[in-house]
Amino acid sequence: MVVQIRLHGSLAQHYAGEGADSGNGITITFPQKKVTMAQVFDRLHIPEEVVGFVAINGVRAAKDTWVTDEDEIAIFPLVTGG
Amino acid sequence: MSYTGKVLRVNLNTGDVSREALNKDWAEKYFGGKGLGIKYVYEELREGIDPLSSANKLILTTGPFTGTIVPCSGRLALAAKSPATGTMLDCSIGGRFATQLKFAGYDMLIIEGQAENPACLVINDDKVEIRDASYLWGKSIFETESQLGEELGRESGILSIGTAGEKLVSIACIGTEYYRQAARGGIGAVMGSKKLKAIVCSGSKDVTVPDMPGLLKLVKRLIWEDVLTDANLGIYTDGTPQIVDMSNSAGVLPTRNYQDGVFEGASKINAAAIRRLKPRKKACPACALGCGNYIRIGDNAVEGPEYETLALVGSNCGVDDIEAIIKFNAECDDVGIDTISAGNIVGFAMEMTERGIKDFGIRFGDIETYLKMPRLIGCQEGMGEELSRGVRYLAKKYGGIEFAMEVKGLELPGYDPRGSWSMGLAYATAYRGGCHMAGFPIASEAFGAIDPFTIEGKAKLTIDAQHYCTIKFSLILCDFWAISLETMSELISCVRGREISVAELEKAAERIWNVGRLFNVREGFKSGEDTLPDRIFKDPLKSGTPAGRVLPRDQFDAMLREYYQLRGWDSNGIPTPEKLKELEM
Repeated sequence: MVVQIRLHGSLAQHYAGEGADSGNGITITFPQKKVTMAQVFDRLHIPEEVVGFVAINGVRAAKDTWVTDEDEIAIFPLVTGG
Repeated sequence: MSYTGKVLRVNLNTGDVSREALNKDWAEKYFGGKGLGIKYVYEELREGIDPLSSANKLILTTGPFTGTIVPCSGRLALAAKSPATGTMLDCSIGGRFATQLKFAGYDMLIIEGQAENPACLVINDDKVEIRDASYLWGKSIFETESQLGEELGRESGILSIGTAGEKLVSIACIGTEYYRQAARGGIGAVMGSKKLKAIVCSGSKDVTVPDMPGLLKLVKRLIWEDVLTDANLGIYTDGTPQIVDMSNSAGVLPTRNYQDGVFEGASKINAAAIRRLKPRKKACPACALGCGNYIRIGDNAVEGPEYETLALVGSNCGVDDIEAIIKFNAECDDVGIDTISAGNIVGFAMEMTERGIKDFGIRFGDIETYLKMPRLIGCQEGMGEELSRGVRYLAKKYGGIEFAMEVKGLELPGYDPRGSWSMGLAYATAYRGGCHMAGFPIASEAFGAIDPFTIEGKAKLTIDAQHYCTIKFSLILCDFWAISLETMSELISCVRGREISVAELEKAAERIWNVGRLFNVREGFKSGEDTLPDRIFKDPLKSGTPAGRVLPRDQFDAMLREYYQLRGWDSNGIPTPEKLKELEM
């Protein structure tokens, strides 16, 4: 399956591949038909403890939420203020 | 220790300038910044004064870290009675003013009375002058700062007001270094009511700490291990605009006067859109993060726009044109008004017009009229005269009270409580009114792992978030350093020269929070004012994660009751004698 991922803020620095500047989309292919968000973090080398929250197709998700083909994932860092 | 032990007091009625000892007991219990500032306001203001009269005071406070090498410690706290809400008000502002005040030898500056003619207060170490500023009256913040910088040195800290502050507009701000503001609650109108156009400060004295080698070692470690880390670097790479995508994905980005929480134009006003404009980075003194995004487009320059501006001036007005938002932002900074309240007021006027309740001649996305608004509001011209009074005034006069997005008269910032129930409680209970700086529980809730749509644990979460912000802003550390209470304890212990535990910090935060509450109780505020706009209780959000959600009123009431109980307040939200005794107040 293929998913689109946007890494926001400082999270992009964890991903070694190209095109992961904050907010830019990257395309990742998984051999499985579905994976959990925790597996996505693993694949991108993003420590779970630096993740604030995740949205899949614009809806809030958790680390055990399943990701399937063509999903659009946004991963945000922790914030302290606005 | 790092306090100078001196307070500079200036009376504009008499022209008297005096120096007095800092109240050491209060400095021990309230530290500095927010806490010490509001303690002085509480103790020195008489009950029921008109905030725009000479009886109000403008109190500027540094913190125990100001002027030291402690990272992210450069901000200044300002406190007074708010002309916008009648509540206790405290704000903060970046830039170099705070360090200059400390270097001049003062922990605090208290400004009393009202000058007869426009005045400028000039502080240079022990030399303090009240100068005539008639030649500056009527000038914008940018013009004032340029002129004073030329006359008195660009390295000075300069605070000034624009036309809005002079005209006592209730959303007037104080500006510094052109693009930074103490913005909320009409703090600029307090300065304007004193006929004080500007304060210029420069200093050349030392700030001492008891254990300089120890502090140097600690700061060196913290810079690498605690400041320049994932939790903070988003502020360097993107600044607060990173929150646009976050809010939009969480469904809490105010859109068209809070009619929705997802904005179809978000990708045009987010961090990526700002990055395309190639911002240059700026930072306050002693800051390793540098959140400022300096952008110039033609004649308009801003540091930002910050998230709150993008949300309230952008999506909340149905505007997805980033250049228009920057122009609106720059106009607000120059005329001297708060972008949060301005965007909220304009959004309200747009909805009033579209619903046919009152024709303000402006509709969502109407950029041409929208760009005229900052000047009209700040200079109180045309329809701006009424708009400058805020959404509570407009709703009372013309209707639309159910979608007047304010708490205690202060227009709401950019996080919709229907998608973050804890943020609703934080807005309702903040002593200065609808405010995101008093507590930011959304960080671990809708922007974190906690379920946003339950009241379970939210009273405790909100109180913890309020105490965290309270102590952080009393020590004066920047919002954008995700520092733990343990690290704060380590730093303040080093700077104070005695062990100050996390428990002591938490107790101080609670004490400070209660001072703000006691002030409001003394001013006649009732628990019924700890509430939210009807829209939050009645109109479901339309899109995204919180689609179909409101914050049910009965759930909110239950959350508020638990909040009072956990705070040790009675059912009317009044601190009990037992609680005050426990806090040594």
